[in-house]
Amino acid sequence: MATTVARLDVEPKKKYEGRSLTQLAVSRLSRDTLTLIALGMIVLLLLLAFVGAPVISSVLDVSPTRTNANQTFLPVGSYPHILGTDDLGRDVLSRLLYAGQVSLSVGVIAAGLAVSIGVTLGIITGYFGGIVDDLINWVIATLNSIPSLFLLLIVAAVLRPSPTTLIIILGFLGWTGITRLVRGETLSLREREYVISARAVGASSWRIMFVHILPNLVSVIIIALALDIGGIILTEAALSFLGLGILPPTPSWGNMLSNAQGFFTKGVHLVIIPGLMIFVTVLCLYVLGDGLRDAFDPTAKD
Amino acid sequence: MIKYTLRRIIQAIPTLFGITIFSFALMYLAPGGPVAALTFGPNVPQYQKEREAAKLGLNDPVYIQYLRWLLGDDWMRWDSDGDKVADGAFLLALDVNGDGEPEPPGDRYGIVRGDFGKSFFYKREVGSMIGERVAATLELGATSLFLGITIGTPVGILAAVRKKGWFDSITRILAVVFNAIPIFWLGLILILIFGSWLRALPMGGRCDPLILSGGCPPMWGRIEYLLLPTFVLATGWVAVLSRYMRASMLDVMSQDYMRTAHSKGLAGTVVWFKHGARNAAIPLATFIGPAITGLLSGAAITETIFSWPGLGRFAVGAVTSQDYPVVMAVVIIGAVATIGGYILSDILYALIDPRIRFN
Repeated sequence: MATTVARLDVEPKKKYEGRSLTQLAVSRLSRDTLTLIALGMIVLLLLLAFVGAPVISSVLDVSPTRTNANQTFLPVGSYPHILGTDDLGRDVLSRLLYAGQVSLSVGVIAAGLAVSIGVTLGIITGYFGGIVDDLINWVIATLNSIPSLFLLLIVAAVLRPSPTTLIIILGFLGWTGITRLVRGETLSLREREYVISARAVGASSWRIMFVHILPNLVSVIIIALALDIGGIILTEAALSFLGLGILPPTPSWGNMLSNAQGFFTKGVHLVIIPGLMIFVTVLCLYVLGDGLRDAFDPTAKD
Repeated sequence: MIKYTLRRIIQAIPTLFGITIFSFALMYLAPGGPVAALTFGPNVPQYQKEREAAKLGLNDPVYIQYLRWLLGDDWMRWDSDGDKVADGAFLLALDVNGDGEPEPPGDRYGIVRGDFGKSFFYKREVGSMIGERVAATLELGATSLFLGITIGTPVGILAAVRKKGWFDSITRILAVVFNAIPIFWLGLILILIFGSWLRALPMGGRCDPLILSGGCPPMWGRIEYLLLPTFVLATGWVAVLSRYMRASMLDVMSQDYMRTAHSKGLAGTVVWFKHGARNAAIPLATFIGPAITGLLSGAAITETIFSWPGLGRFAVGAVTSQDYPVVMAVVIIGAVATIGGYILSDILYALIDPRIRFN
């Protein structure tokens, strides 16, 4: 009897004591079904695009580029073209999966680039302040005053569009939001006791910034990464849709939709399927980002 | 108040300056530059390219070209390299060739005085072409923003009042869903359903193309054309604003004056709407700046899908056809509108929020 009482007394305390924010976040995530489903879907999409695409192409003997004038606009459910064919008789399923490789890689790499630039600049401006801060804030204010899609369109038109240039454009123009976020966090982190004591024992500014402050930004960075990948996939699709992103014959979800625009009545599946892929991918990434934010929220109670 | 406004305007000058440099650099650095865009085609002989370059004054130093574009050349009275384009920055009339007559000034007024030059593609004044399209974009933007605010604000307030209830959950899910839907896909599907299958609404355009002269009838005479593009744009606003409003309302609800109002025994609706919503709506004022960039970016896609004759579609077309004067003009006008929006929202915020004092 006595032991039961004691355990009841200890249990709620143990919930937080001796557990790091990351451990708490992982345990919260493991109970968040919606976020886990989103994560599972993203893993599934990655597997389908990078492993499934070559496997399915060889098993069903279909190709994303082979045209066939006798088999145009086949509906969903044909064999071997499970998701039908497009206006040139190309297999929609394999195009969709190869397009997924392009869209997902552009999203992940460009978001990684944007977040790295943003985090570095954010820590530097937040830590040093002064003229560096003013200069970078000026650049951010300038970039943010130009409607983002116009900016991307123009740069994409000036540079010849290809997956590589698209990654560079989206990465180099997408860092402003995360910079502001990290700058704000750094402003408060640099006044913490452990930073002051690190400075007292003679640590250099760079050491403080990247050894003491950076690890405390990990949750901010992970959340920003998930949301940014989603946002960048949407933007890439919009650019490709307008003809200034990924150019045919390389398939991307955006340019598949743009191509389908002309064949409304003949191939409804050509309009619905690529958009659905973008929608599901971005939705999962946003749900994951939101779930991570809740899991890493230090003020949240279980 | 006036001092604050002036300070904000002065603070905006470096940003505007940065935008002019950025936009000029883009045209200057583009592969082939404006000559390639003007003399399109493989068979254009070299001497003609050179003549076009001379006509545009491209042989002058970069800073002269930038100044000419920014401030015009009607005050420049000296052609140092004989390309028939003034490049000497002298305010006084000078007689360079010694024939006793001062050389004529240039005829450009520069973007500062609203002269955006001539479109490469249409060979017309960019300023007047933009003027013809602004109304269409404003119509679409204002309608969708108005709907976004009138629907998004109450939805956000209700979601906050009934936090964690079914209404909150549903609107939360809908907000994420509508944030993740590519707006061009949503537009295409709406056209497919209402335009192609049901034939209930037109598939695009601003009014019946059979109306040849006199422009489109007023808005209420052609709501069928406005419905789909407005819906596409407004759903995004509702999604963003309802979330924003919910967060703001939750913040207000934890304030002491709300508890006081409740404890005075006031009715729930009075407390929520009179004490709560009015204070929660204050941060909406900060929304004007981002709203303008959002409207223009959204317009680029929506206008392209729905063949809406506005600025967004004009800009997308100009980018594709490398019509640099148009592209630069749209960037500058969009940026000025955005900066104006940011300044306006700062001033509005300070005006509405009684806690902010100017001294």
